[in-house]
Amino acid sequence: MNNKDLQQARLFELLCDEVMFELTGQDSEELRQLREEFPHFGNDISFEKAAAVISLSNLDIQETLPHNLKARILQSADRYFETMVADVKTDHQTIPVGVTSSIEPLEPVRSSLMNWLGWGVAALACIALIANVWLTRSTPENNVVDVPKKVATPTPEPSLNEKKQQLLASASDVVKRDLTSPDKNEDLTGEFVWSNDKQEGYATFRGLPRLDADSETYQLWIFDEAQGEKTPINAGVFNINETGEITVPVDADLRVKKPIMFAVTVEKPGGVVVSKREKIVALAKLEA
Amino acid sequence: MEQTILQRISSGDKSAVQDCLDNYGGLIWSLARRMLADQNEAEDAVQEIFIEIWKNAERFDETQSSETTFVAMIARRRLIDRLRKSSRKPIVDSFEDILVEPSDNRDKTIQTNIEAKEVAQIIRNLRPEQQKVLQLSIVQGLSHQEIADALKMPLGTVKTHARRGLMEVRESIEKDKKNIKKEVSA
Repeated sequence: MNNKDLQQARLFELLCDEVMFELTGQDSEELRQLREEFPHFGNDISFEKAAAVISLSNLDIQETLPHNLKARILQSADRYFETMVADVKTDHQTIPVGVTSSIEPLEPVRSSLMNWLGWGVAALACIALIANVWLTRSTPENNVVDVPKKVATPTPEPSLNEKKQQLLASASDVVKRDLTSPDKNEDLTGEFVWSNDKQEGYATFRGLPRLDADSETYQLWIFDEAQGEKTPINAGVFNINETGEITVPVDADLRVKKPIMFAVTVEKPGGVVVSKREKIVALAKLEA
Repeated sequence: MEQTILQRISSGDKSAVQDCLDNYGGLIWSLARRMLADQNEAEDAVQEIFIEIWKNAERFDETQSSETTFVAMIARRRLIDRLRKSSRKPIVDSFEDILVEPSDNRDKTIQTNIEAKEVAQIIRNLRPEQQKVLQLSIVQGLSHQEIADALKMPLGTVKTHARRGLMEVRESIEKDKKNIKKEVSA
């Protein structure tokens, strides 16, 4: 092994360490010098990628993003797209993934003019609020007219069946397919309704057998062409108390791009991440 | 050809953000919850990670990695940095749980993408010590000193196992990538 080989071996060691452990100042300097020596590995991300894939290889994705957090992130997205996009295109502070061992803080970068404008608007709003409070509180009592408060009439929440009918009436892309039973259960009928634009759907069953809720549940799945046949999208679980007609919402975990089939399986309580598809009770093919 | 989510984000398509959340929200949240004990801190980290992803979306190169892997790279790096900055201990409920079957978690695991599936197999073929060290370092975010203490192993040995394990995984991934390129060009 010549000197160049030894240097490259050392470079690889340090690239591994950088990905997995915190480098000392001395190691960082040595890595910087070796990167200069081997510019081919200057922007190499293969070690970082290997670590990322290892972290995915046994990741147990049981939890979904909490709703409040999702809402916060969407708000961040609004701010980001309003104020950052233009900056990001010209800003070179983006992280060279896999090259640096630390990530710069991501405080939104705004121009000082925008900052001052923001503060100015806030100050004006405060003044207006104070003026409004002062004026309304200082109004003589005999000028105050007691206006009867309007009481909103609560509107009853539409039933799932009504929501289904509304969807059928309002969505231009809505599809409705009869359910079939792979087990040839002649008692089982029903239909599946789905609007891809609205990402909303309902399934109606008649003659679906009751399950022992302690050991089994029904789980809905949407097969999306974009996801592949092996990884259908979970669309919720349900159980029934009676065997009459029942309508359930189809609540897909992921955005459905091109639905090709809808299925109902029997799974353990709470549902499963990946179905073994041992008990498929109903299907509806959506493709033409 | 249909654009990927990250390509849509880098071109300013705001609607891709929802898709990004739908596709990677659970994954990033699971990574964060696995590494950060505090729920609030995990939430802050996830928010930062998504901003980071949008900022770096234009760097995504589908010839280099899948979109999922790219997202995981950003997430993992951000989480590790948080752990190091906060000097807090990562979540390790029981070393025994981790060490007995370091990567045999197949039944309840979503095999996130093909790369991850193949890597799970590669990891199973590594030496048990290498598997343990990689698990503690990459998956749990422990420092080499913490791993040495946990496994009662000299520091140098921890580094050697970690490096060899990671290099083997990297080589396997790179080999697969070359084979795929060959198949495509043949």
